[in-house]
Amino acid sequence: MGIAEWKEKLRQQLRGKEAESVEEVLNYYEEMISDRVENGEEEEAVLSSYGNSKELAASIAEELSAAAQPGELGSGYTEKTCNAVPGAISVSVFNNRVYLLPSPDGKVRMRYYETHLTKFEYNESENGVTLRSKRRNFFQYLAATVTLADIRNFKPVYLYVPESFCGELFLKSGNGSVFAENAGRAANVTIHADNGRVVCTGCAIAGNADVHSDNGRITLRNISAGSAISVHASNGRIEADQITGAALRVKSSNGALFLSRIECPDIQAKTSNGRIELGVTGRREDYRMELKTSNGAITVEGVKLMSQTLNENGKYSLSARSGNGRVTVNFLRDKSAQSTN
Amino acid sequence: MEIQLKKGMLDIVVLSALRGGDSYGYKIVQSVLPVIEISESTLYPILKRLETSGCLTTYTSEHNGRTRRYYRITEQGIGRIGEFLSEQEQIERIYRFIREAEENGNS
Repeated sequence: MGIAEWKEKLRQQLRGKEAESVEEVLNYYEEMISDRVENGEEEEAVLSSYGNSKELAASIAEELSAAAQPGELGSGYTEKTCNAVPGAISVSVFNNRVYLLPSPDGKVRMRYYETHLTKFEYNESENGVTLRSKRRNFFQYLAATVTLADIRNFKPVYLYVPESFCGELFLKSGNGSVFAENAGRAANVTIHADNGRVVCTGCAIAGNADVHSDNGRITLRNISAGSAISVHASNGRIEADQITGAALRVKSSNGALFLSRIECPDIQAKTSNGRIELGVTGRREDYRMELKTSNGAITVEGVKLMSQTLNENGKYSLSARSGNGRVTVNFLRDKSAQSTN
Repeated sequence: MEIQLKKGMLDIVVLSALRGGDSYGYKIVQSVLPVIEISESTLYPILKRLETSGCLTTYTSEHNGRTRRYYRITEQGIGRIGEFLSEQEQIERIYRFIREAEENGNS
């Protein structure tokens, strides 16, 4: 097979693409092949080095479409409505803030803003609805077509969920924060911000709640879960107020924990670096307490104590450990406890 | 080299290959190859992208009875190299951070 024949085969494969661009690519390869042959390579070896024409054509076609879209910034928000309430919702984006809000009309809705830097894939199937950003890497943002203004221009993604939603909810932002104001009656909720903060308020969750931020603080307010609530911040403080659940696990590798009005029979709070302030709704005598700090005071209802286990026979469990900070625990007796006293 | 890291650098490396004077596809590959792995099929979209964004211009010229496309860097392209170089300190800081974390982690 000679150059002409090879070129023709490739041209056939690229049929349907814009003719001018196709000729340009073909000329580019032809020139390259001629230059390689002129510099002593065998023509046949050069041609076979490009692999089969079908695969080469596929990769060229992809490059052509990528090269053809330098801009189009002002295209506005895209809105998707899911008519049936889905069994699962998954939003996984890179660089955008995510808002989870109550739906105004009983339908699951998503709004997102596409630019040449952020493209999304929306998909509805029997398994649920998903929205994903097509991921790019930091260094691609240094590419020639990108300005700082573009990077600041990442617009939030909005997800509207109705009260009737009772499936699985998964929210992830690779580089933005997540703000959740409502999760319907989701079975289980997972929120993950790789590099932003998480604020979650007023959610009643039937099963588990799992909240994670690698590099930002986490704020939870007025959350109830039928099963366990796990909160993990790798590098930020955690604030949680009015939390009800079967179990609460709060952990930060590098931040303080402020937990108040916690109503939960199984509480674990742990930080490697920071203080722990814990306010429990319940009776002190119900809790078996394991309190520990490597560097700081332990205070339970105003009384300083040594690291120790208290109330060995309590029916509930509470553990608070700080690697480097003081630990303070207080109890706020609920109404039923008060009436028995 | 980490693939995404390399992708971002290729644009700059290709522009740098034009700093010594106008060049053509084959020659660009040859001059870039000693520092970074690149194939003809990777080069094409890079050249295209740099052209679209105004970092280089192209023209054709006769060579041995056939046409050859030449690429010339623009002021904007030179500016891009400058921008990249000015990031050096930040990139080094990132490397230093990673290296220190590795060393501390292994001790």
